[in-house]
Amino acid sequence: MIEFRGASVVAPDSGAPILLPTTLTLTEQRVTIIGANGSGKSTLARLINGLAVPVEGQVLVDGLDTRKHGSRVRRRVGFLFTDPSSQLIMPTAIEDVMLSLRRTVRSKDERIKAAFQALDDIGLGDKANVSVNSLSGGQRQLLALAGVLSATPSIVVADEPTTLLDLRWKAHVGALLYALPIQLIEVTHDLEAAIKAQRTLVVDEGAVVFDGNPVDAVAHYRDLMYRKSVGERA
Amino acid sequence: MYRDRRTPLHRAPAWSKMLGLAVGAVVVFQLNGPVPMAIAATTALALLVSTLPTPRATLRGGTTLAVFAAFGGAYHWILGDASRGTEIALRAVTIVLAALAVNTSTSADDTLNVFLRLARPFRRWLPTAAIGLMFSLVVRSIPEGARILSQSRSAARARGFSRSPRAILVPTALRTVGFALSVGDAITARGLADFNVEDRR
Amino acid sequence: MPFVPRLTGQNMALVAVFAGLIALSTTPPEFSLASGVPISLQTLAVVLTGLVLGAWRGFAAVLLYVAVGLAGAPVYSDGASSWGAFVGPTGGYLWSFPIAAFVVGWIAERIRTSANGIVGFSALMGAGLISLPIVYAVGVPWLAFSLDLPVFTAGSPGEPTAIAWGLIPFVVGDFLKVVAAAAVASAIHRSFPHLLSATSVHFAASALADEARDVASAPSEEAAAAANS
Repeated sequence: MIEFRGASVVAPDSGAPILLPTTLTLTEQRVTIIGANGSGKSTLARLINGLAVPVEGQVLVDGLDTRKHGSRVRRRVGFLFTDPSSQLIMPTAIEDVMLSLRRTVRSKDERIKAAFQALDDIGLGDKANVSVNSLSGGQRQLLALAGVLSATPSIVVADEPTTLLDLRWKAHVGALLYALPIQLIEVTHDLEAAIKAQRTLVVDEGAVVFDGNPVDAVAHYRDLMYRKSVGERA
Repeated sequence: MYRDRRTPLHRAPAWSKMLGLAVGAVVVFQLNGPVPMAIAATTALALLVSTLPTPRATLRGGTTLAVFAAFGGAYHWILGDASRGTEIALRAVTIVLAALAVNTSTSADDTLNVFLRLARPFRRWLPTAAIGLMFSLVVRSIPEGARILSQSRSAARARGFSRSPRAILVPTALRTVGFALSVGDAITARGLADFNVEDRR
Repeated sequence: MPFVPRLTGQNMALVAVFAGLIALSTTPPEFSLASGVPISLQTLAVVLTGLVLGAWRGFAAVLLYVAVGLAGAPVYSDGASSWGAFVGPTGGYLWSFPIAAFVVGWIAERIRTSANGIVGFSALMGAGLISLPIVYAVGVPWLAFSLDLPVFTAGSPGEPTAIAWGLIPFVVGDFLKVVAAAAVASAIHRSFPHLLSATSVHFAASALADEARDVASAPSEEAAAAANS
């Protein structure tokens, strides 16, 4: 369960607000977040795993304050980023998954086995010893997801996970995320994916301007964007 | 340059080879005259050959330095001091050959372990896991940086700026920094920077 | 005392990526002077590292580069043997790099790098130029000692000295490299104003991710096709 209690974020130098004080509780299994670039939606997502901490207010994950217990929060919350390449650290696929397993599996032999299993489960079993450089963008994102899932998080936050992927990989990664049995908070530009949720937040200029039914949320968002673009031309 | 073989030098612990190189480099400056130096050079060559190196990599590894050695000797030859010139050239060659022997007989892992051991007294400020992570990341960043560079080159060429180094270097540098910051976020998100926390589950 | 950065994911990544950048700068010359003489960009990368990361991180990045090279990655100039480059006649330059990065970084931390335009650039260039005496002060005597050359003046005119071999041929090129490093560092500090302060650089990362997205999506059709074959 994720709770925002009056959490706000400001830019460190100018003090300009990035996210206005936000209070909500996310318990639904699938929550999607949509909004324009720079609206603050990524910051909202980063508050959940402690990558960003609120300047005022709190964010609690399963009762743990992200400011005080960031490390424990990050054990429960897996995070999938937009750029597949910048999430992979080790030279080969299997080593990268093993890196994610370091905190949960002590013995190296067991880690190797668990890593192979994780790669198999996600469909990259035959690429275990392959250099990360030779993987395509979609495969890299799949690998990143394998690493995230292997650490058995109870919540996954995905920040535009399919934006940089082509159509085929968008569908594949999207389907995998949709099938996850754990809570998934997904920030996305893909409006078709956005409606496949129980709840959708629309973020605009640092505030959550709509919170509720996904179909209505998307309609609200479209309307908002149209009004803004017309306003700019006027 | 390293090849997995079973030679005596391969089996010697990495730290001993590094120490040996350092000591050898000092000792070799205490020797005088072309004859002792020739013996030293031959010894170094023997050590190198004993590690069964690949000829191509060895040549590439040693050529530039050998050229320096030749020039160094040439200076003294020109002055008419042939024996000094030979001594100098042989000394430089000895050092290079011995260094190559270390390179060809020591794996990356073994070298890394020596560095980790050296860093142990500082582990309160620099944990072992962090060092290993950063080593892997360096290797990971090189092809990534190359990719960013070539993309910036294509973009500059498309805009007609292929002659200007600045049009290529600046976007490359900016995107590389952006890449580094993204990787930093990923490291934090994976809990790999959570060092000072006790394991309380 | 220059500020000691915390061991955050961001700092670890910056140090490692810049070490990688220095390694990349030694690959076959990408740029050459009009006369066709290739320029190694290694000093550019080292100075840039100091100017962008500051004293301790810059030092760490160069040290990491040297260590990775010693471990066998072929990242020293011309694919030279790493231990050979380290211990041989040109070793002095390599030994000087971490120190140069530290000093350059220390000065850079004291400059108000948020200033746009000429002021920021000139100050960065000044900081970068300090690297040259440091590099030569270690590199040239080392060269002189290894090859038993006189450092300054030879016995008779026209004879090579360590200065003639190890300094004069490189001065102009190195000066230009410092200018380039300062220009690039200035652009970096303008885009990422918090790199040299203790606060973490957060939001610029997403701004650049946006930009990367735009760049990536432009040729995405054929890139995607190539990548997914």
